[in-house]
Amino acid sequence: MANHPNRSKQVERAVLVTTSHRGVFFGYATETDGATIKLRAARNCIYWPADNKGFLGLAAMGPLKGARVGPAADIELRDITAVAECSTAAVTAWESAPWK
Amino acid sequence: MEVAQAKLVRGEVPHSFLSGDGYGDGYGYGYGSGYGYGYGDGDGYGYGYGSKEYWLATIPHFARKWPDASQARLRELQEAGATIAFWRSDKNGRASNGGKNDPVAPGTVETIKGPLQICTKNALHATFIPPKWKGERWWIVALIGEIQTDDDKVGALTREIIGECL
Repeated sequence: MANHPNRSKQVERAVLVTTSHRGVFFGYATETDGATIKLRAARNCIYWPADNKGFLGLAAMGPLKGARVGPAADIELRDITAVAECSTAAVTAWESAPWK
Repeated sequence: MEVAQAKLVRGEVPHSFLSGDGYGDGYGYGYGSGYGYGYGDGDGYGYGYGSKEYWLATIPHFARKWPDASQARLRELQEAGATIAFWRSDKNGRASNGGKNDPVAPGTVETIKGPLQICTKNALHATFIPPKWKGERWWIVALIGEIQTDDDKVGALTREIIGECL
């Protein structure tokens, strides 16, 4: 069956998602509006340094030197408090961040 | 220098993540009336815990780096119904969140006498959310037999070290 010409294809975006349980996750999502968000290749930020200039710095710059980031896993998040779109530079930094 | 910007598409910056080393200034004058201004910006370090679902989902990532025998042991314990969780130790493999034990390694099995009582010395503990705890080394462990849970904590009378989170 052909795709409807007016139906826009959902695009996966790199996002930073926070939860009310003190979760700070980077990952790729196609939908970010619902009560839950499915993140592909999610990475949990355990610690970020002051150079990151706060939470939004993780979306703008990605994890900087001294940050600690968990490995990638596919998950579904609930109790969402915020979603930020990540910059290209941030995506590069997240993808290259080692687990330890 | 170009500075990358992040776009908040939903919600607001969680207040708890703005509680770092903020700064601000202001001035004012008085004698019965006055005014002032100031600003602040949270720019300190921060930390997060993740979630039980996330950390349990990372176990296959860690297990892929283990020897075949350790991977097989993980599967065996999962199929037997053991509770798989995390445990953190000091650099020598000893307990770092209370309690005393000999250094551990993959294959180490620790047992204590009951009755099982979580959050006391009558339990060998593990966690589903390891960032909440201290310890230089992270391990994936199996709690075997009866378990008790308390928030992210889980306790049993037998704990087997399956592999390290490398």
